[in-house]
Amino acid sequence: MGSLFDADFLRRLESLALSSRRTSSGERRGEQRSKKRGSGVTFADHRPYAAGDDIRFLDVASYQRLGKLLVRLYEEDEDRSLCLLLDGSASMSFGDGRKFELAKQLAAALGYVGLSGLDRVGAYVLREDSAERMPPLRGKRRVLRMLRFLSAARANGATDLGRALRPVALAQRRGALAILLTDLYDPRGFATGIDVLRWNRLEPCVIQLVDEREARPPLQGDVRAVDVETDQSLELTVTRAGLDAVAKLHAERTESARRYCLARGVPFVVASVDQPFDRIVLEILRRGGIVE
Amino acid sequence: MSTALLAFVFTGLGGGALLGWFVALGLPIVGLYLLRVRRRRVAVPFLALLREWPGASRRTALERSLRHVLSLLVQLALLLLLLLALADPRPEGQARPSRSLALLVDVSASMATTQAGQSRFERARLRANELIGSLGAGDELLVIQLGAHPRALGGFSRDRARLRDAIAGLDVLDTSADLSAGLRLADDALRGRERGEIVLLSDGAFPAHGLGEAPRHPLRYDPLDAGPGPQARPTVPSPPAPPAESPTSSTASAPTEPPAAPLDNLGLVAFSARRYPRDPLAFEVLAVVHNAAAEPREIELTIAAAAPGAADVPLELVRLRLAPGETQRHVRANLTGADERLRASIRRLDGREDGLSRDDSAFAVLPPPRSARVLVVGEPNTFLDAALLAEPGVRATRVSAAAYPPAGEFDVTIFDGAFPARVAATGPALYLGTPPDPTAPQSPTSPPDQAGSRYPVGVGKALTDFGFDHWLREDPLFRFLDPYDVQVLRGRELSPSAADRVLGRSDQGAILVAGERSEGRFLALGFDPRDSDFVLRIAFPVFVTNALDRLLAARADGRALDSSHLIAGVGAALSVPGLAQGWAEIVGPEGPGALRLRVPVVEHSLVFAPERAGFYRLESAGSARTLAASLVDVDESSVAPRRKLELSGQSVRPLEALEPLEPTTPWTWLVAVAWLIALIEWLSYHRRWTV
Repeated sequence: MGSLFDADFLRRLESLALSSRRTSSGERRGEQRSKKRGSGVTFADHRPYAAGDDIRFLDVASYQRLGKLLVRLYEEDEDRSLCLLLDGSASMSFGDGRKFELAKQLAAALGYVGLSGLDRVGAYVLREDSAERMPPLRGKRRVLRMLRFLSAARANGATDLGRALRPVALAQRRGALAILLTDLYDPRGFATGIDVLRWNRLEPCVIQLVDEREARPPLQGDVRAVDVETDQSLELTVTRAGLDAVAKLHAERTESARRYCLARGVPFVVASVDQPFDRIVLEILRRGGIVE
Repeated sequence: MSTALLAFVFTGLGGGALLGWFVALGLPIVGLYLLRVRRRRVAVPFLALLREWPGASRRTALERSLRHVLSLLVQLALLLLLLLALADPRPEGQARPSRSLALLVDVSASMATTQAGQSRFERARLRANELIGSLGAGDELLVIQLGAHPRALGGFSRDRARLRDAIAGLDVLDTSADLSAGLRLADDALRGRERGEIVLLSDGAFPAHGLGEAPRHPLRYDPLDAGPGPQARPTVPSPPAPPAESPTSSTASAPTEPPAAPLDNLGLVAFSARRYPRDPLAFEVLAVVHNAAAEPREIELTIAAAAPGAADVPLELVRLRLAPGETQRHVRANLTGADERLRASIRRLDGREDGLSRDDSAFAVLPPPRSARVLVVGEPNTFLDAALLAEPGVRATRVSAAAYPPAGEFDVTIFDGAFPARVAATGPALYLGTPPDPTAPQSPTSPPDQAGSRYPVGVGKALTDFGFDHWLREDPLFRFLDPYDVQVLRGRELSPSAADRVLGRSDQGAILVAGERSEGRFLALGFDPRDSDFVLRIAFPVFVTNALDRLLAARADGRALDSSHLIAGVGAALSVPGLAQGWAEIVGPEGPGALRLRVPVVEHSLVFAPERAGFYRLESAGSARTLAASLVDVDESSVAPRRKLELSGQSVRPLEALEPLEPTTPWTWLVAVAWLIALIEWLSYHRRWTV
């Protein structure tokens, strides 16, 4: 757990706040503004007094000036749900596992920020047809529990984001910010999972974990390529030109995902394992519109 | 076996065998190529990405197969080329049936003769290597070292490197060469082989009587002369006085070659030393010098005392002048100052280099002073007693015939005109005096049962007025002794048994016999020396001394050792005092490169045939002796090469240049092409053209 964050890094993350272009209602008062009028301190509007209204909210100054009984309405501060969706397929730990490690670190960082802002933070490790769930937590005191959950997470099995995310999305009774950390290596297409989130009133945000070595695998000559998730194989004769073509395909695939997300207003960020973690958290996430 | 194909003849594998091998070896290659290539398994995170790559399926199965077919064809071509190389194809007309050669390389001392900076042996070595280089693919060669004891080095071989190693391991010995034995060995080795030939690389310096008979196999002779290098081959320098020879002869084929400088050599052809019986500290040496040059030469003969690890101490230095071809004998008497080792050396006074330096030194070891207990049976004999008194190490005891055998131990017994029945306890016996008449009646005092054993050999007719007409000069009994003009008044002919050896004989019959009976060895003289002028000569005490030496050397305990000089290459049976049964070690010749030889010892005797001149140490448990070996051979010192060799009355064919190895034999090209194809195959493999 200590390898995920150090104290200095946690302090820097604390200054970040989760941003959401679409506010959503929360179950408890939080630090997020809400359309819901309530007992907040920020004035929102007036409305005519009705029987039963708390007379403490009567606007005396308006009555003196206009002679009408008006009640002051305040914006009520409420908390927001943050759902961390971690792709737990075998491809995430391919090679030296840096991709999955980075995903866990990013999830931990985002979760920490959420907990610091009194948001409700839940986490899921997505399998082929299910997900390991961490119940929603609230409050900074629960950060250790979240980190323990993330540390224990392992990547194995196949990828089927649509199937894995469906029960997760249905379980969200209210809208939530769903941050999907994945390599998008879904044989059924990367869009399925994103669409499931969109269609279930969640606010998806996609962080694609990228390892450049996967774009140019160390293949040469006659090989039998075996998928680490499905165990399916393909016989190939790989040349240098072939590797260039594969790298190009990989880049095109990333670009295709980015365009898809942008077209649907879904923030999309590419996080490379070769980039410094600080930079990813503090700059790339900010550029992607996930934090402000 | 040879098979013709187009304009080539296969001298190695035949056509059928070639096809068979190609099929047998090619089938596994084809079979392996038919197997599906087992690809390397590589894990990837997202196989769909590779599936999307159009290049993965761009190459058709046919194209991939064709690539492998190309690789298969390359492999089959490689196999075919290698098999063709093994078949050793040669252009028709150049093919030569394989043969077996026995190469006799003369390593006798005369081969060390140097002229123009190159020895005959070095030339022989170059010539042998030339011969090896000219061997055909199927030719086999056996190297035989032709020395005093010819020896085959390894067996027949086609491996040129191995043969060249065998040649490189040869070196000149200080011995003569036994051509007859060498030819017999070569004949035996070639027995049963097709196209066997013998090649002799020698200077031809063999003794005329040792040439032997012509071998059964064809013999070719390369008369090596110490002259120009091998580049002049096959021409041979013309002799100084060329006889009218056939122009095809090898000796007449050097019209443009300058004649070699005339060879001359002076050498020691004999050297021995002996102590004086009366004065063990003094000694005399015999040195025989031979001038093989065609001109008179002056030399300096030095007799020196040698010591291990120290410089020689000259004892006497003599200037000699030798006429062309002359052999001079020099006895240097009353020398002192040497304990054991002696070295004789000669040096030319004209400052020129001697043709053969190996015979310029000779070595000898002084025998240790002798001591012996001698029993004399018979009446007092002034001459014999005086001769025995002259031997300082001899303690003589005289008894009458009636008192024989006396009490006590004796090393040798002299029956001086009295012949009682001999007993073994008194050692070997010397019989002097006229043998008893076999027809005379037995003495009444002699026991009847001993009558038959009183004289060791049969006695024949009476002889009168006779002498030594024939004697075995090489026998130690006649060392320093020439009994030619001894006149004998009377005596009796001796009738030796088959195992006895006649050492001296007059025209009328045997008069000196050596042999062995159950009582021990004996020497029997068929007359009383007092009935001759023998006792008046200096030869008589020498005879007595030599007789005692001979008998004592044969004693079981071997107190004598005649090691004053051994001739290199000649095996000698040595009886060494105190030599333990088992093994002895002989180390030498002293100096760099000394050899260590283990020889068996049986009954205090061993056989040793040194091959190099010098001093040797004979070591065994409890005793150590010094031996000396020299090259003393007048035939080796006569270094004039023999350009024509005749065996059994027929001239030996000269060795013409063998057919040289074709500089561009096809098999080398085939291997080169195979190598090139292998190179291309590897290149294509690494460039992934054929995989």
